Amino acid sequence: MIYNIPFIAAISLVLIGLYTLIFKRNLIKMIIGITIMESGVNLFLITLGYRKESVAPIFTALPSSTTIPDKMSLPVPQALTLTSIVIGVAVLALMLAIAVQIYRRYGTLNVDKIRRLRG
Amino acid sequence: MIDLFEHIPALLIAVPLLGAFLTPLLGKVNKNARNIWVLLILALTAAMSFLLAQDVYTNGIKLYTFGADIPSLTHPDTVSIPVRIIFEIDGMSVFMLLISVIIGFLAALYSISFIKDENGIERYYTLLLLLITGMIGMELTGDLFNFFVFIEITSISAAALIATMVDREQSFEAAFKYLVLSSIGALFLLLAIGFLYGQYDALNIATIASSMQYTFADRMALVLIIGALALKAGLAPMHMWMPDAYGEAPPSVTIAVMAATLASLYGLIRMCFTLYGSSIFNLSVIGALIVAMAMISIIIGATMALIQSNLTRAIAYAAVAEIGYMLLGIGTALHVGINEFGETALTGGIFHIFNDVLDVGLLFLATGAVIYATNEKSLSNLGGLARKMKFTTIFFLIGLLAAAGMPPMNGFASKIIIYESVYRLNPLLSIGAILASILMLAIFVRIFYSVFLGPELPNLKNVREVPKAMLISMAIISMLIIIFGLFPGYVIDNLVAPAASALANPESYINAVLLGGA
Amino acid sequence: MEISISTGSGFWNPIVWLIALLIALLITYAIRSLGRKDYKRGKEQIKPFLSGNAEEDVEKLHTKGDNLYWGFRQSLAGYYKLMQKIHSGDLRDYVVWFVVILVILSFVVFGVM
Repeated sequence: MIYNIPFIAAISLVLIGLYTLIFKRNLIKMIIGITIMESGVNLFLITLGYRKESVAPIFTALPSSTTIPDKMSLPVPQALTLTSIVIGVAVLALMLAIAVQIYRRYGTLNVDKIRRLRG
Repeated sequence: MIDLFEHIPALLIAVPLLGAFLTPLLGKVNKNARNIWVLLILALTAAMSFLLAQDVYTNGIKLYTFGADIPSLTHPDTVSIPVRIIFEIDGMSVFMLLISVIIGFLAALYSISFIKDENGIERYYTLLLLLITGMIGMELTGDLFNFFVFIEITSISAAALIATMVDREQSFEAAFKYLVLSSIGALFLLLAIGFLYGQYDALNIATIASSMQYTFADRMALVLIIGALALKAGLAPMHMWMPDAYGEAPPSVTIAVMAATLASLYGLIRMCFTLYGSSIFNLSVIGALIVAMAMISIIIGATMALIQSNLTRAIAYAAVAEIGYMLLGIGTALHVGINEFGETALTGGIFHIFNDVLDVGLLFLATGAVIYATNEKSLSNLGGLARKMKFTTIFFLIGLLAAAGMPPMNGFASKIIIYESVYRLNPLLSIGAILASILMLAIFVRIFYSVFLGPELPNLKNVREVPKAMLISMAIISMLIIIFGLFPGYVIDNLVAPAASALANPESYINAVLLGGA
Repeated sequence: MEISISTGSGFWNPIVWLIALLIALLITYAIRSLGRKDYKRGKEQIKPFLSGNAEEDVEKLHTKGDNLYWGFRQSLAGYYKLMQKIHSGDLRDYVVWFVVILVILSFVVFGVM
């Protein structure tokens, strides 16, 4: 059971992010909600690569009693998570830039009032 | 001497990417040099994709492994599973690739005249080339995480491009909505990819498809994948970002973002037919749900477009309805399986993808010409433009007839296949689709009448015809529409039938990677 | 290279359709040329007659885009009011529809419904 806690935490982060996105009115809070969701997905990805009592998957400096490849954690999810974190940073930067411009033109950050495109 | 011909799949990603990042340097030298550079890069990409298409149509599925000694070496030495990122190109990928490069070239050609030279214009072309790179990558790849990376590249570039017209504040609102919904969709897609990786320890589509067992986690992944890709493709009731984004972007950007939306639709088709395409389980209930959502799309798109007073927003709702037509055909094929009329429905849906992007793209370009000439976007201030803008009127008329499904244009050819195959599933669906098609004719006739016909208005006395680059791009699309309309058999036999048969046989896709090798 | 496509239960050949259209246009022209030949353009014959009143300025008679199809909009007024309320332009509603579709899809896939 204790090994399932990271998965539960990751899914809870995604659900908290979704809650923030649906129920909060401020644009910045919605952007924070997206960031929380993305942290949850990254945590889920990195947890997939864990093996019990494993070492880092580097061949050159292994401690003596490790059997290859059973006691090494998976390297692929680490690469996937790094890529996803970088993509998340780029999306966050663009969203914040657009939010700054919206504040300058509309004068408010309330999503109820930024609704000129409707119908 | 490196045989460049067999490295074309990698070059198709590298050449637009190189062009994208060298464009600002050339922009500082001379404006015309930058325009010619962009068009040259896109023409080179188009030429390479035609060569690739010819190769795939004669020789079958083509593989490209990044970083291997020989590009088709998917299993190096003694390894029993395919390693490295593999691009797998079959008939359906080539079909979407041709659409993307043709539309990309035309968008760049149109925007040479449309986007006026201001500060920061080089970033526009960089982003456009990045968008085209992302689309090409989405359509060529055979690897799930690579697909996610290219979807994010495409959505970031598209969101930044939607906000090009910085003097209207609505474009920022549209860009924000597009970006938020795109990143939600991509995050759920990444969650599904994580589920599948945890089950099968592989990221390659062919590897996962051959060992798919449809357990609980696989079903969860299927739900997330279909939900996320349907959100990106604009299926009702998740279509609401489409009128906002398409209506506020400059029309050359809209046509490129339409091609990006169709690339997400290609992703949905690929996941449903190939990744979950094994014959142990059937996806017919999902096909029924997709058909239901497609009918709702058609009805909402056709009826809401009648009451819009913003010119581009009305055509954007028509684009929502056209996505519904495509998914009506494809959903029917998913529901009944590949038997007598399933394959016909699949052919109609796939043919309609190409026809729709040409028709609605031509309409967007023609309305862009109107906006360029008059600076007005609202239907209540326009009128009587046919006297001064003769070519634009003719192109809009051709686009109108094609998008509404009038013979002998290409819209009719694909729509009649969809009507007749969907009729065998349920007659009510076909009747609803035909009535919605009549409504779409009503929509475009309303726009045509109020914008082009009538007497000349006093505040529009100084309009002139638009510059040549815009007219040439509209003329190319019109020629393609008329050729596809007059020779539909040729197009179906050579372009659409290989795509449909590639989707109907997932085993050929899987075996190409698993048994591939030096 | 074959021109006609076979739909599920028939076929469609655009060249045959164009030839049929041409024949129909020829028949129309033949019928029209049997009519009266004393029609003069640009004379008093074709001006509109408003019981002797003066004709208004042509620019004011052009129906603008928003006012076309007024009858259609009035008859479906309830439907359009509902639809415009649904397309509220609020970003949170867009996310709610996505979550609703995920829930419906999971019911369909897991075989509950």
